Amino acid sequence: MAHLFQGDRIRLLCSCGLLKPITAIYFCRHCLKLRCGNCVSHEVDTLFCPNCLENMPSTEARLKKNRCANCFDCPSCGHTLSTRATSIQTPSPEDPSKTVARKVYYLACTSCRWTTRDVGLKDQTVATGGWVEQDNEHYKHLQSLLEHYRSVAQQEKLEREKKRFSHRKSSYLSLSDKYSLPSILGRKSLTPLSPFAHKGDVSQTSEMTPLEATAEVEGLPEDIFTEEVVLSSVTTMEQRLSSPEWQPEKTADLYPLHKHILVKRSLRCRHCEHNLSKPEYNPSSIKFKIQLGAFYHVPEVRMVRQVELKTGVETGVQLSLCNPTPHDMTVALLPFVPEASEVSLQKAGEESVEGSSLNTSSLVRVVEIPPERTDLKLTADVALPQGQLILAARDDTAEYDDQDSSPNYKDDPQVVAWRRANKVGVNLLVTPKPDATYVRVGFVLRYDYTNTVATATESRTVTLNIPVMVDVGPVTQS
Amino acid sequence: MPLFEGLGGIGLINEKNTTVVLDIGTAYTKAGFAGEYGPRIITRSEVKCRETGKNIPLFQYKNENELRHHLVDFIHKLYFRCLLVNPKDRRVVVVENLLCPTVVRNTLAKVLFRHYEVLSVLFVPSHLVALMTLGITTGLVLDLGHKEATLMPIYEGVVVFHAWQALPFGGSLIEKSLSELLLDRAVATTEDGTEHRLSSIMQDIPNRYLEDIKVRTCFVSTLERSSCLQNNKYDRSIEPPPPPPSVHYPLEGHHILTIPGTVRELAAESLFERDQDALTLATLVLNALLKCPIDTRHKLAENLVIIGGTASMKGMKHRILAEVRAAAASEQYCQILPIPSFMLHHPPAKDNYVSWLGGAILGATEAVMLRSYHRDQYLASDVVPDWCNLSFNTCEDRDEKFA
Ligand SMILES: Nc1ncnc2c1ncn2[C@@H]1O[C@H](COP(=O)(O)OP(=O)(O)OP(=O)(O)O)[C@@H](O)[C@H]1O
Ligand SMILES: [Mg+2]
Ligand SMILES: [Zn+2]
Ligand SMILES: [Zn+2]
Ligand SMILES: [Zn+2]
Ligand SMILES: [Zn+2]
Repeated sequence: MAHLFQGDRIRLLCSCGLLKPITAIYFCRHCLKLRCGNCVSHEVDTLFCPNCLENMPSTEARLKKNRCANCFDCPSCGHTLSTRATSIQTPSPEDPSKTVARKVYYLACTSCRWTTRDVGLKDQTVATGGWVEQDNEHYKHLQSLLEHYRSVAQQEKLEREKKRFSHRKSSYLSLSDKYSLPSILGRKSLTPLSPFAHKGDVSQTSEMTPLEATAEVEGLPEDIFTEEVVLSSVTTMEQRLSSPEWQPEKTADLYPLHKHILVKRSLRCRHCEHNLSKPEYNPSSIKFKIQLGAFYHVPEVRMVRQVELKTGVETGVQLSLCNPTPHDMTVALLPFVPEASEVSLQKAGEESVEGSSLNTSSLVRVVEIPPERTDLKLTADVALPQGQLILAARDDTAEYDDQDSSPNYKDDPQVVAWRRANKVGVNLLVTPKPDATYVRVGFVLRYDYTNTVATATESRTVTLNIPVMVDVGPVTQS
Repeated sequence: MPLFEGLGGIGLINEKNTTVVLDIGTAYTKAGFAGEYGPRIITRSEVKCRETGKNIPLFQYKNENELRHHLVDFIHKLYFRCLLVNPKDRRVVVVENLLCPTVVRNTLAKVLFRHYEVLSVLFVPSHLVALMTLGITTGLVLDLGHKEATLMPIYEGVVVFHAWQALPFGGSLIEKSLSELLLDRAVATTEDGTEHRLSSIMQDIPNRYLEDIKVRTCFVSTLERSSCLQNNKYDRSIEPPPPPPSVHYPLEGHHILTIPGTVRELAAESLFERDQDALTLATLVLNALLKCPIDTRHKLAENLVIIGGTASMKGMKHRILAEVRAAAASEQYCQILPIPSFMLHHPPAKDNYVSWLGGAILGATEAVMLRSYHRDQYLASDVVPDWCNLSFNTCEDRDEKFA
């Protein structure tokens, strides 16, 4: 019971079919359905450097390859590098016979003690920046290639447009000669498929010199059979791949890495396109502008205490229900039938989508994610309390109230075990099925949700059904 | 297909919607943007298991559903941790191995189109686009990846598909024989200074150590030394060449592993030793040539391209070339495959991202618009017809798929 919300013990069935703890679920107030990370659309909201906490516009991020201009990571261990200042004696510009002290800067890692001096990089005279960027040695060749293939593709496109009306049938589908090197005729029809094809007038495509093959390749270094290996001078795979374009093999070739920036994400409901979560713009803020966590909208279920379970023996399991909303809600627990409830859930969802005027136009085409197949097998029979109960609204001031408010509700003692502010305890009777080693029970939580975004014409309360799965615990063999 | 063709009108080099290029390998994934000269990241193809929270290989899955979850999580990481752009309404180029299982390809399409709502996907064959980095149209492309070595001849821009070859000779095989050699020959010094055989301390060596040892200390020996060592196996009177120096390697913080020089030298030999089927990397190349039409063989042999991370191993390319030449001169091949010269290309990239770079070049051209498979098409049918793949454009193949 260590986890505050019993994350892995009590899970809700999201509308996409995955079981998730309440802390990982969102509640779309417009569709009135549960959503989770699996079934919402994620978006990049803001980009920022995690070290200097500066925001970076996305165009700038593209140019800088998602890296901060001012902060560096250690190429050896990945820790953030810090700037060190020191002074050196240099000949004075006025009088070369005298020396003056000058401040210089270099980068050092406080974790593994790597410094830019280790790899022979010259100290900088300014505190930030000044480090020369590494170039791609093949830049020229690659640039000419890119231009070449662009013009080839451009021509292909033009030709296709010309042919469009004469050749209705796509050439893709009219070939008979498969893979084998085709006859002259076959080759003709295959050539346009090749990205390399010089189609039509070759002279129109841009200049490009293909690289030449050689008969000899670099062999092993002479001394490999005699020279001792100094392990610390050879980079690891991680060190190599942290600068993918260069992949230095020796630690002497490591180069400070610009720090990679991070994103804040916002989440959007795929069905109604409303935001479910949107962070604040400021990188140092951890708050949200919008955060529709299920935790604020769905009654929270917890197990009160761990009980011992025996095969075939009926055991009482107490759950607490807690109302997080500022409105009273009527709650009932209904039996959970895996297959049936899935269907009904979907139906209910569709109706509410159609019925609600809040949803954006029906022209929005929703791309459904593939259906999830979750194992919803229940390993115990459960007797649920019959009848309804009222969950009191959350009242943040109630804590300071001495008076007990519970007498206001005419509770059925068969249903309500206890009541405290906006919490209620209910008892389930669980009978583990034969051969079950772990007890999992399920029920549908039916409650009246007060819709805060509904328009005046609609009823403000809607009845929602949320399937809940409870991992009660292991069965002890009797 | 009016919709498909109509797309040509949309501006391509729109900075805001640069195409994403992905090469998802068994060991490492390369990801970046079309038109750039190197991938933004090369990351391990690993995901956190949804149940256990442990890192597991992306392509280790029990069923399609699990594979899809892996891909969903992995692609999420690629976009929101590495590339930092919205996947929605953006084009993707996927560099794929032609021999990649259909389930992987279909699941990837499903994830990209349905979960991430990408605008279009273009699958390009890795061997074919590797040639684009060189600016040539004919070549025999050997990809030495992690799981396997795959070879595909390409003549005048056309994949000679029926001549493909593949063997499970990749980085993982080297790691496997390295592990066997170490357990057999290496000693480890424990904290109290006593020496033990490695096999008495651990039954198997964790993969990350094996890779690290492989990359940092092992190399591919020369053909002469290797045959000398081979002969020594059968005839003890032949003096073996002196072994390279051994390496002291810290293992799990409290052991010092002494890696014998012979192990460093022999780990990669398994790629060249003839197994029961008498197949080696050299015969792979020659058998592919044999399957190609006669008039293409010389040109193909003069345009060898070796790519993939394992090709970066010290001495690898040199050895392959030597082995191929030796095998071609051997009795088995000299009559049926008279090839005067073998030549090797040097792609303008590190070996492990050559294919990615090819994809990035192609992805920056109009071809992305002309050949991609569009989201609306996918959603209408939920299948990826193979004609969106540059090399699967034939009628029959498509029919086979639907049959
Ligand atoms: N310098 C090196 N020396 C030896 N092995 C290396 C080196 N660099 C990478 N490798 C190995 O190359 C393999 C990864 O290569 P690559 O990234 O081409 O594979 P992949 O694309 O993930 O695999 P595949 O193509 O089989 O799906 C790994 O086994 C890695 O250990
Ligand atoms: Mg690969
Ligand atoms: Zn969901
Ligand atoms: Zn910064
Ligand atoms: Zn460091
Ligand atoms: Zn919604």
